[in-house]
Amino acid sequence: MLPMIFWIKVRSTDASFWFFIPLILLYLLLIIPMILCGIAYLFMLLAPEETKQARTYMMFVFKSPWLISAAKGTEITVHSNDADVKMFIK
Amino acid sequence: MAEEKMRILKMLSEGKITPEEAEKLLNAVETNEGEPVSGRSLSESFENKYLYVLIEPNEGKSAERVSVKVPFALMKAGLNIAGLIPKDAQDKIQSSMNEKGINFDLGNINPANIQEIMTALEELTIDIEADDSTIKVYCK
Repeated sequence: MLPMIFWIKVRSTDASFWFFIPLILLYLLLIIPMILCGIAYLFMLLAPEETKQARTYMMFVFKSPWLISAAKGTEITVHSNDADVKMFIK
Repeated sequence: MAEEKMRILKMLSEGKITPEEAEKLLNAVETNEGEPVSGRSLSESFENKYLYVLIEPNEGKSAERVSVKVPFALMKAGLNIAGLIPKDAQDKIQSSMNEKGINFDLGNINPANIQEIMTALEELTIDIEADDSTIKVYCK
């Protein structure tokens, strides 16, 4: 299951607000580079020895959704005298 | 299944894991007996486990309080991705790390080692008492 929402909550003495970013937007943005990388990868297979290193770097792109998915449950909270900031991926 | 048990016992005999960790791993393997054996069987025991980093100000200090919660799955994914780094880049990273006195061989990152690292992390507890704050790192 991929994480769907990145939340940011800010509570301070002056003002409090929160917002979220649906991560589906990020996945949609990733689709285009992934398709391009997929096509480039296929071309690179025509010269496997020469493109070995480049193909390894491309694996980072292919693995990126998996890394984002693994980030589900990450939380960062900062409390100070003036404000509380909480960021989490749900 | 016997293969996994042998691997755990080998890790124990080599001193890579403690008897308690070996018992935990063996229990996890036995729990999954009857289920298809896959690389995920042991890793599933890390689900819902997190690494916590807490920075608490000491009494009388007005420092900020910070709490970071990182899922084990993210650390595992990071280690797996580190294993994808090409050989040339690995050599450069390795030499830089050696210069700094960090003897960690990136080339040794493989699924078995990741499993060992994650198992060892489960027992991790670090407490640092500084002048202004206390830092705690633990897994739960």
